[in-house]
Amino acid sequence: MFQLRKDEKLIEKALGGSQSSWVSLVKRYEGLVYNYCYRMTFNNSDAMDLMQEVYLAVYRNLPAYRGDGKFKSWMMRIAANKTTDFLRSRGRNPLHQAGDVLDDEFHTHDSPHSDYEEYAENKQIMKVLATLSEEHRMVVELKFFQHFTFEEISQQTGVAVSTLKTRLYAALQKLKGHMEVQNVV
Amino acid sequence: MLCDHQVVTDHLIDYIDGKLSPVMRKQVEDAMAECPSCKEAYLNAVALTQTAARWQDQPVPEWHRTEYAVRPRQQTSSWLNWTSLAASAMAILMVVFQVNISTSENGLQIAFGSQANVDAIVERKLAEYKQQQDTLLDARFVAAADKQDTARKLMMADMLDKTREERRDDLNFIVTGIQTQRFEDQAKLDKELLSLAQNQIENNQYISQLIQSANYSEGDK
Repeated sequence: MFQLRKDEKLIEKALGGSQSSWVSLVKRYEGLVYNYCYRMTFNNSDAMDLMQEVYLAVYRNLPAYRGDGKFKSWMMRIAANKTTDFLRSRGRNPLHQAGDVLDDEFHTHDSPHSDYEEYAENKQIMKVLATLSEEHRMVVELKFFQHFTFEEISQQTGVAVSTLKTRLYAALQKLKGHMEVQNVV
Repeated sequence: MLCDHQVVTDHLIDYIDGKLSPVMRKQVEDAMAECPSCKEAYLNAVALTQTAARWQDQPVPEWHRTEYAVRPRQQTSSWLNWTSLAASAMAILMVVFQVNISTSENGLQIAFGSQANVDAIVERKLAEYKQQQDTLLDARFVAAADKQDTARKLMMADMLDKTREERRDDLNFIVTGIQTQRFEDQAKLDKELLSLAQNQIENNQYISQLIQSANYSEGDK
């Protein structure tokens, strides 16, 4: 509740022209959005582009945010829409090679050793997610990584709850075999 | 029994989160016990939950968070701006004019600098003003004199031109008159000479006739 109030206060100030409030709001959620974009696109550069598109849309639609729900949910609805558009447009791009994305370089961290560990861990997870179609990956992402309820996911994606549950079941079926490898890791 | 996976599809997540009633929980467990596909979905869901928890957040690369700018700050109440502006202007004027506000038995007294300063300033300003006015007047007189002189010269030149022209016209008229008179006199003279010559011829003829007649008369004799 405190967070909600604080979000609304930042939004109010950002709408009033406060640059610092907008930056605070962006910084609060950019990690979440960026990692979401990264898991959906498998590519740092695409994730960055997509995140910027999401925040641009958030910024443009900020006056329309009525504060009748969590800002995070509202923002993730925009993110879901933008992701769908982005993946659709990328799918039309003949230069895009889906197989190349997992070889994308990870960002450098404090030590080369931890870099490798994080890289290896995340890479395994990405490989599992890569076995799923975009709509299955979306529901897995929003349910298991973002921890939204089915009702919230339904609001964000505009897909019925029953359809989401069916998609999730189908996604879990598709993970057959891949999760065993993951459990060993 | 053929499983349509519906029970597990509908309640799997709530089952994992422990949010189901005992009755529903039992139904889900029965379904998973009977259907290997549902059981596998459950195991994969649990594994996925653990997998998601192992995700190491990627740090966000540095980016321009305000590239598309923040909307211009809304105007704060304009009266406040105007009031502060007026107060600043007032303060500056008070410093410039050395406004001295004091209270005495006679009440509030507002003075603009010291009297000596004021007199000196007034005197200086008057002197400057006088000098300025003198300069202006001199300049104006000079300009007027120049203008008048120029006008006079122009008028004189114009008058001379006109006089010369009139004189030339008069002379032309006189010369033309004289010439005309001369032509007329010449013509008259020519005419008279001609008439005289004709008379002379007639006289000569007459004389010749007379001489001939005289000669004839002498011959007859």
